[in-house]
Amino acid sequence: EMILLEFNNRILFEIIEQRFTNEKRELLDVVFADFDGVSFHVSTQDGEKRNLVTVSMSWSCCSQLFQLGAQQDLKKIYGPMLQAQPEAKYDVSLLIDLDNPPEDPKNLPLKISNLKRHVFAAPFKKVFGDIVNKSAGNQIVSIDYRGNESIYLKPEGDSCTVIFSIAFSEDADAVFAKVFLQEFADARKSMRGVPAVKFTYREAPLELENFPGLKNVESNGFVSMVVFDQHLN
Amino acid sequence: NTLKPYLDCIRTTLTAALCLRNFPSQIVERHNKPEVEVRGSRELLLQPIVVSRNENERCLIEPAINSVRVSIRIKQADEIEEILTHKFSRFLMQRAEQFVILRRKPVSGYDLSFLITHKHLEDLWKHKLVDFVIQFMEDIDREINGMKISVNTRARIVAHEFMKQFA
Repeated sequence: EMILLEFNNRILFEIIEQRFTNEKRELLDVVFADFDGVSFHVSTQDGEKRNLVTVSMSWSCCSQLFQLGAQQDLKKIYGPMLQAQPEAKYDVSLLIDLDNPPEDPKNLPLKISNLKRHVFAAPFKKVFGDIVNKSAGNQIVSIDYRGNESIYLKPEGDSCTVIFSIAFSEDADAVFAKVFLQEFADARKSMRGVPAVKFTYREAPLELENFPGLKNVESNGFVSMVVFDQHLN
Repeated sequence: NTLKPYLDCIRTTLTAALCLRNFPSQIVERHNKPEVEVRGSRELLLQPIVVSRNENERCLIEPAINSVRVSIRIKQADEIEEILTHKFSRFLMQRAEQFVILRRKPVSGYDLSFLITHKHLEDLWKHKLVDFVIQFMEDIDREINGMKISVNTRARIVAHEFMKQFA
């Protein structure tokens, strides 16, 4: 019925899983992609060091995410696996020693394959955490996670407005989006405690009216969702 | 309700217009073309008629000596119906050859066009052909409406699935 995507990267999960279960350790050098323009590189060095697996990720918005606390989050989650200096041409690297795993290897495939998710989550955790601690300001946070699409986080007192900017390759897609998002907005009538949703097309949403960092106003659609305390805790 | 008078009017007009006979081209030797498309000789073209139900729904009937062009403008109340109509009629028109009487491109200002020639009337019963066109017009409105309801239903399901994570 519904196609619900996983949060982690299936390819990365299976590579790590196989590395731990396979007796043979063949030379590894794979490059593959994930959504949003993300690139992964998994490799082992030759010779004696086939137990060392390097997992690197490159993503255009990594520098923005690092400024918003991603690096501290990664340190907490991956500990000694996180490399201080990422591999050349990549933004973040993890090094896993198959012979000396830092924790139960059964957990590692899921943990490693959630790398993108953990990096992406950092600004959300920060903003939502600040709101719960009542230390959030009015600063709007931009995450330009795709070439022409961005996410904006706007704290407002006890709630947070999350705005997604969406690029449509055809005008017809925008019409379908309007129909679907109208239903999202109408969900409040039959479900309690659900975020308020609004959609604008080719015009800046009210929440971002004077925001200088707002991109692609003349071409994109904007979905605003207001999440509040019961969602943030 | 204006639907029955509208369709009845189209039915009688079509029945009158579909009196076709073979008429080889007067201009090119040994050629036989639908004169309503060629539009070369004025005496071979009859008076075109527009039957309107309202400003958004109408039917253009262009008769000629050996062929008739019937163009329909389908009711489209909003953007989503426009997209659905456009995609649906495009789907049919790409298969015009199998459809036999359908024109590959609609006449400008209309959504769908039929081209009926004397040859078709030699193979098909005229009264059945007229029945078909009328039935087609009723069915297409119903189809578009059904598709629109499916879009809304699907949207509601998706919204529910997504939002229930928050509730």
